[in-house]
Amino acid sequence: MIEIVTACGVGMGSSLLLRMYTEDVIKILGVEARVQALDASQARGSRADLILTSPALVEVCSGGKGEVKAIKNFTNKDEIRSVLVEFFTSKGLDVNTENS
Amino acid sequence: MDTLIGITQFIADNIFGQPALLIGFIALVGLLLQKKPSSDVISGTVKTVVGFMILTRGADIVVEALLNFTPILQSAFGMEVSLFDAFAGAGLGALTANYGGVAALIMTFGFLLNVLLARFTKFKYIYLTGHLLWWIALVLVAVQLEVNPDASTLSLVIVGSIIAGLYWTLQPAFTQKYMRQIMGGDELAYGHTSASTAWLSAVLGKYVGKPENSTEQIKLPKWLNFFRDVTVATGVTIGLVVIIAALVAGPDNVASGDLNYIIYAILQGFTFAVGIAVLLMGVRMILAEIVPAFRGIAMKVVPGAKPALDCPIIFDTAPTAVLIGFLSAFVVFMVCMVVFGALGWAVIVPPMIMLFFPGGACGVFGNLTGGFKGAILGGVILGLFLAFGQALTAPMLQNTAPALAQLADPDWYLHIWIFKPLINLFSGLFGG
Repeated sequence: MIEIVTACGVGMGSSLLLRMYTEDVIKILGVEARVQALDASQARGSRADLILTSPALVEVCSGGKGEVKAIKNFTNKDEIRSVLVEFFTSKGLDVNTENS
Repeated sequence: MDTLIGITQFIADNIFGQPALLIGFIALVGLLLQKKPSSDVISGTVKTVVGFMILTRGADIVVEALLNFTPILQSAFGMEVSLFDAFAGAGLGALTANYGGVAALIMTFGFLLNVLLARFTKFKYIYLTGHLLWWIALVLVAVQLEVNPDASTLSLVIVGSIIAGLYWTLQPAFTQKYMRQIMGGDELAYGHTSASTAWLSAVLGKYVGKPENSTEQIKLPKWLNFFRDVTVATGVTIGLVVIIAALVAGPDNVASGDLNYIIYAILQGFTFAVGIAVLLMGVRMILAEIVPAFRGIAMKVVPGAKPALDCPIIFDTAPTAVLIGFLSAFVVFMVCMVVFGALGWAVIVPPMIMLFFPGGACGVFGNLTGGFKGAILGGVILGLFLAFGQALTAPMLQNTAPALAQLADPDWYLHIWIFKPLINLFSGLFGG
């Protein structure tokens, strides 16, 4: 199971939103992953495999175990999708890219 | 029949009378409606209940720190140390523990009203900023209790849900004209309790500057990013304020016990940051389970709904405007803090989260119509609003939870200022 963290400044509003959109995308991709919303400092300290956050917070989130990727528009599923597909493929996971 | 009444009474006392369990119950229903696997249903429900208990403890820590460092600020300004009259009833923890269930019901029914209004009117906005569903609900409970401490649960829930549902539907409509220009599209709306000041920043921005002179042409030093971590920013800022106050007040006026008075001051500043962090962790745990369920319901019922979202959603359209808006709000607030104190009028505490997020949003809205001067103006508007808001509103919540005034965004103040007299008027008309 892949652990993903979505992060924003406080970990309540936009990160939760990004979590919901990310979960929608993951469902379509057919990958087993769990998504959790946290604030930036907690995200850095988490055991997640992948951290998704806004460009401005990439630096704050970096330095921990997980790979950090920036999402410019939290509600753009195409952007989230391309970042996730790239990450999952790099981990050698099967991704369903047919019905999008 | 007797057993039925007995069972109903038992449920009323032991489930609906216990906010933590009631919120857990709402989450349980939400998780079941989403057809989650049973392990997710159980863990989600438990997390919500525990999250609520964490939230209550966080509120206690915030109030404890306020009670400890407010007297230091008062004596630094040469005010009479009265343990801050407004905090005499300091009951954010108590309000949450006793009326959190009512707030949870307002959150649920207010949201359902929002969904219905979006379904049947031209306002297609669904308010998905979860923490503000919670806080506005709690503010509306506090306002009603200030007017009538014996208000029944039923009337608290009905009045609260109607006001909240209307606000959550109409506020995004109000700011949409500018959101369309900021986001370059009509799909998303602004759902945040800084809407009044953000709107005002855009309206007034055009009188001070030109949109061509955008903030995004300016480079700001990197260390300013430090403020993006709210726990650190809160701890350091409040810590510094309390240290300076302690130095001015002198060791004799700081009730530090065996500790050095400066160390004591630093620890109180950090304790406040701890309280905020704990409080937010609790809110985060509750929302993580409830908001996806709310969203699921709304998207099914309202085709073509536009989600109204938290303020950082606009931050990446103008990152420099965010920092400029925050800085100008921060400076204005600190000036107000010193002036209010020097005049012996009120002690106010810099609310870092509210200065950063709404400050940033006002910067973006101001920049839209007035460039960098508009962004600065946006921050000034917010700083003034928060400073006067805190000073004027804490006493208005004297019998419930004055600490709410320290956690408030501009629209919370508007709710309190508008609805306290209005509810008072109505309860007078109908004989209480």
